[in-house]
Amino acid sequence: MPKNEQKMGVFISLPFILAIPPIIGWFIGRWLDGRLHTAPYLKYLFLILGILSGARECYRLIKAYGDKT
Amino acid sequence: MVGQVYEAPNFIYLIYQKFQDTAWGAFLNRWENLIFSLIVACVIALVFYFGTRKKKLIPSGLQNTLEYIAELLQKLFGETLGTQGEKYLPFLGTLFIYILTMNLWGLIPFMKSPTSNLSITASFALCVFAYVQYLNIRNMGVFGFLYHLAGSPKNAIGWLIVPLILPLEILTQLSRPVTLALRLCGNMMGEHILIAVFALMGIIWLETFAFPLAIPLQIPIVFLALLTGFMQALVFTILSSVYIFLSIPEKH
Repeated sequence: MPKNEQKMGVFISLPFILAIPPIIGWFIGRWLDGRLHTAPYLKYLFLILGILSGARECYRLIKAYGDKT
Repeated sequence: MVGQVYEAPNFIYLIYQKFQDTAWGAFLNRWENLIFSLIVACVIALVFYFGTRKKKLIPSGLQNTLEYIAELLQKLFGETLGTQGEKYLPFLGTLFIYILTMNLWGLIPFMKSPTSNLSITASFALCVFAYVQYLNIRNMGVFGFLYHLAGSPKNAIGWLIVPLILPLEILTQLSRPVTLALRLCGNMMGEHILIAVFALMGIIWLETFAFPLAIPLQIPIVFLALLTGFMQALVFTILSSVYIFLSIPEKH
């Protein structure tokens, strides 16, 4: 069972883990749109993928470090 | 003001103010974060060198303190990584001690925390990223790692959602170093700007009455900075250990 300090360390970073992937996804999508001339579809697609990715990582960490009760 | 960010002036900036027309003054100002990080590295190396120079079976003084720190770190990472924790202790322990010292270095007057600069924190995050990717490939092999990134599909439905899972996993892997670097840099920069603003406020308040001294309004923030500096170093290394843990296939 992880200790409280470890849980706190992981949970403190959850807002960043939720916020950063959509931003990265948006930038990757914008770059791909510029290369493939598909604006604005890939930008929005990767933004949604980023949101899903952040949520998935959060779920993974909460599952590993959250209380089982 | 240092660069574009308001922080308390450090000794390199003061030297630069005096000699800003010279080439070496500009050099010092340009590389101040790197110089401070090298100073911190030298201080840590010296402390550990003198602490372990004359090793005794029953430790005392500095050797005792250093062994206590090493044992604490061993216990902390052992809980996250299990029996394999000791294997990664040199990397994670060095990371923790280096980041913690850098975070607290800015609290010494006329010094600066190099971790308040994004280049320094990004270099730490890239080290962790490269190490985790290396461990992923070493533990699973190149194709095993790609299979893991694709969500380890086991049936037809699993293979059908690979085009969705693969970009998700790649985005997750890419966002980890960005998250690590931005959080550490943002927290440390905010903390040091807060100290500088409160110190400035203490000076300005009494300057109105032409009083030659200042109220040390930054003192409570310094205590807060001690706590957040420790917490941020802990969070960075705990998350690094979690990413290493996730790269060990049989553990999750």
